[in-house]
Amino acid sequence: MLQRSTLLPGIRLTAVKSDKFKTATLCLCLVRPLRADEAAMNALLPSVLLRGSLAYPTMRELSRFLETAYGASCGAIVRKRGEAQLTGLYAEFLDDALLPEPLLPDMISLLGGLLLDPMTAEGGFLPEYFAVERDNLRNAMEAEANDKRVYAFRRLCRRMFRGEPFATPAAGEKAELDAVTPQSLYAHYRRILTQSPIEIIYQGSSDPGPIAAAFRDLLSPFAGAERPLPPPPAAVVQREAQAFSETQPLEQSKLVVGFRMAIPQTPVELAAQQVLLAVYGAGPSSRLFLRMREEQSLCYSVSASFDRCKGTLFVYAGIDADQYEPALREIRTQLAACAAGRISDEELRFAKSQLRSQLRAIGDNPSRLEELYLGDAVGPIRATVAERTAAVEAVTAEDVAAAARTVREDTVFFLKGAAE
Amino acid sequence: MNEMDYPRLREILHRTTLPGGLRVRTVYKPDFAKFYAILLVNCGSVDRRYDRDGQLVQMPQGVAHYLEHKLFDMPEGSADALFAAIGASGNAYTSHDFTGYYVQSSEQQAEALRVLLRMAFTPYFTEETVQKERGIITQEIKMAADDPYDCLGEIHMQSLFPGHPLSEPILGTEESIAGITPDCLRRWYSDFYRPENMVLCVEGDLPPAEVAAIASELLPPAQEGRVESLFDRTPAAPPRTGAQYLRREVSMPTFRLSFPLPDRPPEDQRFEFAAELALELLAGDSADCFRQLYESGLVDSGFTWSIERYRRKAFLSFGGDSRDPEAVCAALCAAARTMLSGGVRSDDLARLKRSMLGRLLRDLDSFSVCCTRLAECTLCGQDYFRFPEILDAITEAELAPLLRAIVPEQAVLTILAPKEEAL
Repeated sequence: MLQRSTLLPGIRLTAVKSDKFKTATLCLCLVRPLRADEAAMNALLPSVLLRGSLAYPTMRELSRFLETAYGASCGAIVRKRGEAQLTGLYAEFLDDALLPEPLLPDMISLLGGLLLDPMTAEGGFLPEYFAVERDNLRNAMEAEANDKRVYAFRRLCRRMFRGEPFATPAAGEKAELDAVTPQSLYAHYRRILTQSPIEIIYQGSSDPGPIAAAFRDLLSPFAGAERPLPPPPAAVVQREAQAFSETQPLEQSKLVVGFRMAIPQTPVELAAQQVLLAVYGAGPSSRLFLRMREEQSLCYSVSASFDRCKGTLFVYAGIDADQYEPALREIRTQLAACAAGRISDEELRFAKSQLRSQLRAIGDNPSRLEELYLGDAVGPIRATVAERTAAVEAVTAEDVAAAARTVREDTVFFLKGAAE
Repeated sequence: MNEMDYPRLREILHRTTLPGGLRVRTVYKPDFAKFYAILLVNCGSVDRRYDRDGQLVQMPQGVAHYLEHKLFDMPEGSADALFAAIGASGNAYTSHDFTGYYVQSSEQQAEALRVLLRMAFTPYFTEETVQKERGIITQEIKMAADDPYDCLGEIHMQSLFPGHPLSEPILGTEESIAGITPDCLRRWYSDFYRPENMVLCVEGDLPPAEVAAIASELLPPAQEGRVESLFDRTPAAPPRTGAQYLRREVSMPTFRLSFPLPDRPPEDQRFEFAAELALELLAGDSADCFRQLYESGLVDSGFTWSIERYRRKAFLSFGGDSRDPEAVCAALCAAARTMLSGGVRSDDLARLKRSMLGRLLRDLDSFSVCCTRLAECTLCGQDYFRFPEILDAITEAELAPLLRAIVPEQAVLTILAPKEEAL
């Protein structure tokens, strides 16, 4: 049973009551516009908050509490959805239905305390907590070069979306992080706490009523101000496709192609894009997988993905350095075939059953629910699983072709492997 | 069909063994749409040398993984297409000691199971399809070669088990897979994919009787002859202890640190749980040692510890990013020494048992984790669902022998470090 309620202006609770699971989840997220000048702060904030609150001031006290609470875990949420950034905390814990004493009230207090009563000193976060977490985040940013797939995607995004907020990675950029101080992060934190939409999501066997009341009490001191949603991405002027490359000593080269596509505004438009993605490049029955891997042995991995809030489609393939031309040709040819409506009944049927199956499974997976509802919080589309399923069922081959016709190649990046 | 009730888990397990020896385990969940089934075969990369009716057979490196890829071929086309047609997705993996084939779906569960079993029980390959797969697996090998963390893992295993099958790459090498023919694959299949050497675990909305009926209908005939892997009989040279550096283009050092345990540990969950509790007491989130390492910036939240076991070989392992892995190793050894001299506090142990119980219970929400663990335990003759009772029974005295393995002289430390930087 799904229940959505507005606790205070701009503060919403989505509660999914279910007694199917042994795990209950609680998540508390601030919704921010994705901006180069605050993304790193939003990424750092949850890690600093997780170091301790007034009730559990040290890692030792916090860890001991979580261990006593039957191995509950809590962690940071930092995500990029279109041109919005989500920053917050989550907790996962044994559901009260399996316990002699309920845990949920303690977990609400814990998350509330971590978010609202952090450890501070001299008008800022505790300098020793801040310094370690900033260094950890900096190390994580520098580590992007270690994974060549991640690296190729980041390079493509920085070039393709230059001048657009979407160019900023989910964790922000290093130069911005270096400028943050315990005081500036604290000031930012106080500001966004009162000015950002807050999404709270609960999944578990308890009634939503007391949860809503508890969070209303916790958050009412911060009520009053406007909490505007991030603006949707601005329209993009179409330009000539560009290509660039870099050579590194690698056994396998990485090809990434970035496309622009329309941002879906309705469940029906979204469904057409999802079916397109399934037919074209997502999963082992897709065209790219069958043609490039199974027929031509060009690669082990090839896949397409998209961001529905930004209107982008990416294709990734790990190939041999001398297969750039054939691989790129196949990526373009298959997309053109979809746009021309050359989609068989079988392909359409397979794609739909794959999506239907995924949608049916959403309700059976606590973490997927949370992701779905957080995604809904920032995009233009809000729909139930049943509405989404109905939209997928209604998609025709022509809808898929129409969706494919909005796709425009924008940027190609080739991370070319060469002997050292 | 035997029905076992586990009230502390609120789970019921149906068990049966089909003619020929295939063990079937079903957790019936009529209120779930999601569905998971795994067929786990008790063979992996380490079994490529084996005894068949007194004859030594030696297969090329990578044979187990190659077959795993090729089983997806069926006379009517790829199993991927058959899965896709019913909205299911099937996949497989090969590890050192197991090969697993699994499917997840949320509709037509019976059909999804049928496709999985037909695929696994239909070895079908031609010269041409085996040849074509070589290109795909070569790309997979190259992808792994470019991944510095994969390289770290491989070199670490080479240091822990020099010259032993555990030190060999699961995928094989470009050279070794060149020697894999349809004949090799057929032979590997008939020697290891025997009903008594496999286990089927299913969770979701498919009644146990139906699962058993489908498996019986598709079951391959029992095989003649006797096959014994030489893995457990292959001696390993002593581990290469001390620190070993691997230089790559990485931003900061990453390490794997392991301490071998005596051979032939008891093959049960109790041993694993005791090891996990010992490690958590030593280096878990609430341990002084971890807190000091974290606060001094020597490890971050990616620091991990685990008990690793491959049949009768086991070791305690740590890993993560650190600017000074040798200091991390020294700190862990010192903490183990302190803990051994001071003794384990019973309230600390009780708290960590409770924490572990909660995490193990929550793991059951994932059908894939539950079925995979159930399958592995079944192949080792263990009852996975008895974990609450097993945890309860563990005493402080069981932890000391494990902690004693954590000494500097036994440390095998492999460090992936940036190229330019001198540490």
